[in-house]
Amino acid sequence: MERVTKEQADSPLAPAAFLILFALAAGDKHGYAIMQEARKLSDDTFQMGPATLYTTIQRLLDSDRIREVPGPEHGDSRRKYYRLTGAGKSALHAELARMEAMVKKSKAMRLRLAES
Amino acid sequence: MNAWLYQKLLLLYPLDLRRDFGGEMTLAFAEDIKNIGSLRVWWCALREVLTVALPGQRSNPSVLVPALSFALCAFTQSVELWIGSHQAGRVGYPPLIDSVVLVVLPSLLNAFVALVVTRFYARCSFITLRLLN
Repeated sequence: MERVTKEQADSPLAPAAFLILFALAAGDKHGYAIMQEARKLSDDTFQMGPATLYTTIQRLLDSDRIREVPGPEHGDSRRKYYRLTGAGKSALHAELARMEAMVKKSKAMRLRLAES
Repeated sequence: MNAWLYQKLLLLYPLDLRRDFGGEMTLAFAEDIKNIGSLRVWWCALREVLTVALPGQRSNPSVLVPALSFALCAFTQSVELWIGSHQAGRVGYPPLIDSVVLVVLPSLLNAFVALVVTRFYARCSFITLRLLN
């Protein structure tokens, strides 16, 4: 069941939520692997500690943007693994499209600024 | 030791977060210490107390009030210690023992008193404190 409405999917994501969805786009991961991937994706500019990570994961689980999945057979049983849902993918795509549009606009603006 | 301390720090977080993710949070914290060093990880963990734990406890005065009481007391005592040591002609940071005796202990005592008041006296009919709904 996907409880995310179109308005929610279209609304801007918080940086932590965006990075978690982005990290999960490459495949299922456990919490700490998400944290490491998020650091890598942000070139270590976004400091995400365990509390930020898991409160955001909790929010994403509640809004059905990610879901818990069984881990690998020989994995650490203490860890939970997470997967992007259809709603999560839509939210990530919407955010990336919004960012792309902003970059295009800023480039056009710079061009206009250069001309004036 | 680091993981044990972090587990204690998790008491400041909302119960549902601790219940659902407490074990994983401690695990991630311990792994992060191993990979990037304790100073940076502890700094991040303490910052998260202010940015995640306390805002999450808005509806729980028995955590919020002692924590704020501790922070306020630590701040005022630190200022007093700093002024006192400068007036005494000392340069640099005050000695550790002074900081513990004049800042940490009174702040802990203050937090404890605030905890007792919010936990027990909030239910008394003559001192309502308006902490309970």
